[in-house]
Amino acid sequence: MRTKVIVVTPLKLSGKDFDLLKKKVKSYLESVSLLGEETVFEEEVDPTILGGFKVKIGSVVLDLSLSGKIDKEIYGRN
Amino acid sequence: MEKLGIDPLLLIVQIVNFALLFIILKKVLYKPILRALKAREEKLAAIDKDAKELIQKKESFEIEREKSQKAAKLQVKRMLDEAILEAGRLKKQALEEGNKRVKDLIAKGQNEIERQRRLISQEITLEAKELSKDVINKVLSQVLDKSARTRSVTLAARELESKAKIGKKGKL
Repeated sequence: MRTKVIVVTPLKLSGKDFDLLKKKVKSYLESVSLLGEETVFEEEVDPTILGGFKVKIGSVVLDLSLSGKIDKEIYGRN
Repeated sequence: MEKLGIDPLLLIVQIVNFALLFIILKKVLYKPILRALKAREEKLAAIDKDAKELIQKKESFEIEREKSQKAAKLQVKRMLDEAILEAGRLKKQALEEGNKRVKDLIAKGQNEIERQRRLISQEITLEAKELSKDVINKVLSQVLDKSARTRSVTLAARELESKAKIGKKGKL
């Protein structure tokens, strides 16, 4: 089963940095059993997240962005 | 008697004449008159008796009337007293109900004021949060340069890595 994983970053990462990030995301997804047999990573740039990154897998979003942390601090939510 | 000019025979005749007249009058005149007088006396006595009875009846009627008046006055007084008591009770009840209604209205008003205060407070808090978020976002978007953003990605990746190592599920 093919899994599409979108990694949202605040700026365009270099190929090396993105590969390193992909590796860590993949490792995490494996640990939480969200990784499919075939996983395709896509990079998306969104400056409004300010820092950190987000990982989108279908309707599931893993938010490690700075804007997400600010939201959590201010509103008490992710 | 003859010397005195009195004729004995004439005297005797006069006496007999008087006696006869007396007997006739007694029989014909006196008795009916006496009967009529007696009947009149009896009638007067009966009328007097009736009058006395009527007076007695009138007196007893007056006594009864006074008793009735007293009883009626007492009853009216009792009814008035009861009416005054009832009016007092109703007045007290109306006052209590009025006070209760006023208290309820005050309580409702206070609740509404408190609710409005909470709503306004929530709105202000939300607006303050939105404003804070906007300010923080604007400041950070200006302050964070490329290297800082890259570093933030690295830090987030480390966070993710530690989550994976711990083996706990991240918040998705």
